[in-house]
Amino acid sequence: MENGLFSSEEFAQFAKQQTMFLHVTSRVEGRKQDSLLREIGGRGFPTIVVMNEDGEILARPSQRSVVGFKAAVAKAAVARVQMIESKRRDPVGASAQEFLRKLEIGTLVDPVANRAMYLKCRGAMTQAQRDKAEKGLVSIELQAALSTAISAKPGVERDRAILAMFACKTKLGGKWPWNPGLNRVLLVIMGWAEEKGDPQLFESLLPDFIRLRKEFYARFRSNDAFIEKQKARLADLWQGKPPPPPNPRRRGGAQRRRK
Amino acid sequence: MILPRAYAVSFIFTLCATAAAQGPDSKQDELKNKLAKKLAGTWIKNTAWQTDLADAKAKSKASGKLIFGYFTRSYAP
Repeated sequence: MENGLFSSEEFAQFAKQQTMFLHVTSRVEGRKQDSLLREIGGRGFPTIVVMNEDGEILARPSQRSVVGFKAAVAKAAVARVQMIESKRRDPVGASAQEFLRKLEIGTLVDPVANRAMYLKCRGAMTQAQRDKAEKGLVSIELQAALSTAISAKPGVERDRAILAMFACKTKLGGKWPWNPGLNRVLLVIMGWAEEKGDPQLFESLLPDFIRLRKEFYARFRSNDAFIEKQKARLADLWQGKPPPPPNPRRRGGAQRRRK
Repeated sequence: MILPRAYAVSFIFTLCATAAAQGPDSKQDELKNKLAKKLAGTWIKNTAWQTDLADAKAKSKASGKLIFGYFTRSYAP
């Protein structure tokens, strides 16, 4: 994208109409604002956003092209006008709209702060918006628990994080949120089941895992082999074989190579 | 016989200490080089990118134009 789209004349013309901001995460110690992306709730590289003059994210392009960027800017311009208008007329309603917008573009990351924000403005939401907000908040809690489960060493902290993930499933009516991100959730819990020597738990997760991989990851060349590998892990677990040592370079087992 | 062994132990110890002392610095130097290389890209020079968010906000406030933010990394391809 950098040496292609960003170097094109079409992009240069587009850039003249906006304030262009570039942030490079470098991991250089002591560098000012190096973790800015994480602070604004961004996940993964590259992240492209359209912000207002206060740095609030108003839109994300749905496609990486000048047409997609222009559509996101147009959407953000409408959101900016609506925000100013609604803040003037109805501050609580404006907070509710802001919460729902942030939820939609995925910039809410802290589960506790987000719930506090939701409780302050839920009175201005319709029932449908409340349901959407509740569901979104539980998904954020699930992501937070997943991060803890991945970073924690085997022990109480990790066990609690796994249980928190199951609690999220209960809050969602006993169903996992069905999206590609569930792959990592299931892999982490399957790894935990392996650690605990619990083939029943592993087996209970496997049908959802296979369905999810076939629905969202079929384009990856190694997808079928990866599914077979999980079946083999389960067979080993039933036979009481010890789990293989964890690979520190690959957490979650994502398969990156495409067909 | 003891003297060469003592020299060998001392040599290995010095090597390890040097590696330990230089390790994080050399890693940081590598990250700094990667950042400099990234910021020297032609695609950056083609567009008037602001690299400080406070400057971008001020410019946006003054011009009324929205901020198009692009977040990338230099430590990996």
